[in-house]
Amino acid sequence: MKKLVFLLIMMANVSLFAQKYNIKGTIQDTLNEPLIAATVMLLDMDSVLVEYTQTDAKGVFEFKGVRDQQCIIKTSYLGYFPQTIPIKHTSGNIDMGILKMEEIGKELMEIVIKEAKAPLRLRGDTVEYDASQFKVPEGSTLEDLLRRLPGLEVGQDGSIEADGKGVSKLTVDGKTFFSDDPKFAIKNLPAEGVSKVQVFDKKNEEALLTGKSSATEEKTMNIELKEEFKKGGFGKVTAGGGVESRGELKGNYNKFDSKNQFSLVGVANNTGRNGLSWDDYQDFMGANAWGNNDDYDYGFGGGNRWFGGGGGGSGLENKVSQSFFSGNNGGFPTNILGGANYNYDHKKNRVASRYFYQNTGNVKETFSNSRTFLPDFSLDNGRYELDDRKNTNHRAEFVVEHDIDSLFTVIATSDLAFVNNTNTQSGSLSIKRDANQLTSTSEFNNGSELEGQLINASMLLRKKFKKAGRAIGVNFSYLSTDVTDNQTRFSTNTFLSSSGELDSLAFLRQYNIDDLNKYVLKANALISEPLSKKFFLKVFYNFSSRNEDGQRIVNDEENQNRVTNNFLSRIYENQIQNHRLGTSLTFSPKIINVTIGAAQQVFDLNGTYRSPQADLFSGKVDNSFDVFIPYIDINANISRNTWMSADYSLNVEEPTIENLLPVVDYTNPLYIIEGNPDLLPSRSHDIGTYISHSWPSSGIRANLNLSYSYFEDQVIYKQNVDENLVTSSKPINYSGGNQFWSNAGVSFPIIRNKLKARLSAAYTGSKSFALVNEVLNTTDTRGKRGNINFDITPVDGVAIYLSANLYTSNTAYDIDKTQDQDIIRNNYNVEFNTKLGKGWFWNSSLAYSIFTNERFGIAQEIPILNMSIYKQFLKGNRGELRLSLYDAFNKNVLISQNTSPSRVFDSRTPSLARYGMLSFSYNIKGMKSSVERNNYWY
Amino acid sequence: MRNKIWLILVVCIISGNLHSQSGKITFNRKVNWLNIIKKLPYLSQEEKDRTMLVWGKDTNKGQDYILTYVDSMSIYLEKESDENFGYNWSDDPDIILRNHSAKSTKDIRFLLGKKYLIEDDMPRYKWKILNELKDVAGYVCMKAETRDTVNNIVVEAWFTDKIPFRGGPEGFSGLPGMILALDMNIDDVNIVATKVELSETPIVLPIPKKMKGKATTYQDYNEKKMKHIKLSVEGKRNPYWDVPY
Repeated sequence: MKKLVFLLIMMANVSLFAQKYNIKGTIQDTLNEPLIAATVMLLDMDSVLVEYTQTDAKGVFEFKGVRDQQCIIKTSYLGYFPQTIPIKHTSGNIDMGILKMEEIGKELMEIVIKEAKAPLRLRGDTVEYDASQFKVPEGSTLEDLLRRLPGLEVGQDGSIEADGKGVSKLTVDGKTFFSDDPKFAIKNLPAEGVSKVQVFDKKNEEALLTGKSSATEEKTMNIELKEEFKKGGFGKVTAGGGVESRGELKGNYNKFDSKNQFSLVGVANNTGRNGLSWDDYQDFMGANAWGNNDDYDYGFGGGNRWFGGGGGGSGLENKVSQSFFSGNNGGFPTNILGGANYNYDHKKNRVASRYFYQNTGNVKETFSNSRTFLPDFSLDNGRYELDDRKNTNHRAEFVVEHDIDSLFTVIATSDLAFVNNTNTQSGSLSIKRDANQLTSTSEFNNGSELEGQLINASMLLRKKFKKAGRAIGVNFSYLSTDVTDNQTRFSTNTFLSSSGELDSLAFLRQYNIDDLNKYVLKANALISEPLSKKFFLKVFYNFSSRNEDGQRIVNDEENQNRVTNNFLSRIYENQIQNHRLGTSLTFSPKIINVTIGAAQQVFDLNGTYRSPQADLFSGKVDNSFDVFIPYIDINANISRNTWMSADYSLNVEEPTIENLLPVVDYTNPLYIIEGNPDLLPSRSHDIGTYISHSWPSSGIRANLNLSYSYFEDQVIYKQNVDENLVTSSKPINYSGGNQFWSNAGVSFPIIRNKLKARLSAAYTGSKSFALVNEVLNTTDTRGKRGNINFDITPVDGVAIYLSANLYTSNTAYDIDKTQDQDIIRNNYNVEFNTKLGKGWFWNSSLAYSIFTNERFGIAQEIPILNMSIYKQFLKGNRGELRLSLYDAFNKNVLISQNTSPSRVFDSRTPSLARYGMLSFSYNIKGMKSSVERNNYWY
Repeated sequence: MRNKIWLILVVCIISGNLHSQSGKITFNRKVNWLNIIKKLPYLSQEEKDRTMLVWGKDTNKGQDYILTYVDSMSIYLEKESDENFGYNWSDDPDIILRNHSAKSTKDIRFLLGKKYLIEDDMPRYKWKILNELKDVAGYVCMKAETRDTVNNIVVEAWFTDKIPFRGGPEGFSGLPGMILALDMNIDDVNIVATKVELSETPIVLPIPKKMKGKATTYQDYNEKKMKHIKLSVEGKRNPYWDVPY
């Protein structure tokens, strides 16, 4: 064939004028039979298709009126190697004569093309294919793979021959793999990681010099690894020290490949932040960062709960994920955190395991004032508190998932946690009547040492069926916690007469032991069935049983001896059982989805309580409630860029144990709390709507949300204040409260990619009640919020962010109009970041907050200015040296203001203020400069 | 002799195929977001690695499309899902309706929230024929490539001369046979035929009754799309959140 082409070219004469000509030829196989309907393509010299035709019954093809003076004829026929023949026109028509097409070897055709579906690449006389397409059993070595590849022979000793020539050298991604010896490499490389196998002629020195390939007897093999098999990993360390003994240390590292993910994180600092970000969260959790927390409590909605847990003040029932998102509580915190995570995901098995350690401390002072309105007078409560707490906890979580087959999955989880919290609170409080008459004072010193343990285990079975949408899910879980809290309650309480003279003194010295064992059993089941293309049915059942047994033993100190106070101590057992059986039907014609559902829920509350001296007092709670719960949800995708949804749901919450127990809590002798065994579950009727629209071509987005809740049997507090101004409070049910929330937002570019604006406004309101000395006080609160943001990125390397958040709330009390409150909370922020050049950067931000409450005489302005300058250096910007100044004006303080029925509250917590710090960071993948805010939405 | 009989059989089958006038080909179109993100110029290596770490597990099954052709007409439509699990969203799909003898288009294309009706000449592609063979849906296909100047990428097409209709998915055409697979920028988007049903009897093309949109040309449509891609990359935002690849 090559000779033919050579001859054609040799015979050609140089033509001076471009002229049209014809090309014809006949295609035959190697047995001289014509190939009928073979495709013949006319390509230009860049292989670009110009024209094509097919051979006739005699195997003949012809191109007429060809203009190109040089071109390529390419033939194609099923099961035959395509032929590529260059043509050079000199004069006249060209007859290529008989073109022979060679059959593709049976092995290549059957194994490479048909079975492995690997592309067959033809390079002159050699053939290459993608080895990754060949199936070998899991755990196979490269040697096993090579044995399957057509054209290769692997000897017993591991020696390789390609096309009858020995392979003497092997490289991986073009680099030598430990040893040049192919026998070593093919036994040690896993077959799964291989993407391509290439075999080249090993050119000898002469060939390299002359470029002329002599017939060599040896070959080189190159193995290309799959992208995902190349291991990934990144890590970063930061160490900083500053004035005022401030320091921070932070490191994280992770390593991953297609099956394994391993990560470490560690933080130690006393800078007031736990120092963990969304990035750190994702780096730590890896593939399990999102959406892997199945909502085991099946119900009407389809959404997943990302962060479940909660579980009381001890934080015992928190998840590891919550350790990454702690808020700012003011004061002077210290943090030592560390964790390790390992995920495995391969074929049918997935494992996630993680351990996290947290040691946090915080020392803070809080100055707070509150005013309580009574029908004919008011009480002012001024309080100072020094709070010192240390929390240590260990948490471990394991998840194992196994696919029994492609439709049946089993998931088992277990969590373990240990917490140890110590806390002391000391301070003083004073109570004034009508803002000027001091009636009582108290000095207190309370302590707590809490220890708790948790075990949580669950099992989930998920079965799908061939019919899409049909599924069954069943799960069980068991949670057990054990918490012991040793408390000390010391206080000296002074009561003054109306003339301001000492009336009485009360000393309180208590040693309390609080013990609570809890276990919760849960079982849930869900069946889903598509009734037709438009109707979808779900039936679910939920069961939970919460069992608690606990005791609170109060010991009074009398003459240095501890004597159990049987009036204040109690031993209790509770069981709250909950059954819910529900169903929902979704109707999905085009565009809109409507779900209507209903459930019946039964609460069974049982409890006993008694004094350690049983004849002193004892009691029983045995209540059962039956609630019907309707549900409606409508959502629609009105057009490609318009979404809307509306829903109604009834949320029922059973009373808490604390509120149900008719036991008097005298912990605070000035504020006595009593439970109410007659409480009913509270019901909240919630209606919400949402609509959003975007104009993608101009980058505008707008949304509107409205929600309204109406409360039935809401738990409110009935308070009585006696002549000594001792408040006793008891929860009761009350209907009629409500709450609404509305929010509208729009974001739009003013200059595309340079100036962007976001505006939002919200209007909220609530109506709530309190019963004080038998008088009902109705409180109406209205809140208005406005938000304006500008993101300015004029040129690369400069970013300015401006924002103003304005909030005003107005609270009206119907029993005492003179106490109506207007609270104003405004924040103005300016952030300016720029690249200074030569690896230098500047970041700065000013947050200016204004808090106002005229009635309380509060007008506080807090400017917080932070700035830092940093330089990136080392190869690939791996290093960064940063000098930071935090709170340049030394003004940081945490302010809290709120109003509740018949009460107004405000507090001030001095917090870590001005400090400077010098820190160094090293990132193995290179630091990213943070001129522009992080856009998590890649 | 035995070879000859085999050859005759093949010829018969092939010539039988030659007479087929209509066909229905199901394609699976899979957008590999991770591969697109990995190529975004404004992300740091750490951000790319993080995306791999968190989202690396590929569970995307892609979306099915059906290309139906009769004689010289073809229509390419999104396949209606029979797995909507109780949720059904807007179905106002893109429509690619082609007349291959008149070399004209009557396409409905959505771009940035607007619906366009494009009645224009069929786009011409400059195909480079390459030396690779591969099996797609039971057909041995040859590789060709062209440059997509809108997304600024190379599109590789695998075509077979055993289905003589000279079209393909997404409106790609002009090769000596049907395109059964498309690889855009190697692995950003992969479109692969999963089912080929050929028929000798004409079938009715599923042409929607209403085909309305703002009239435009491919030149204008492509310019708008290119402008958006450029602006998005400048604004450090993935352009393909808003426009189809």
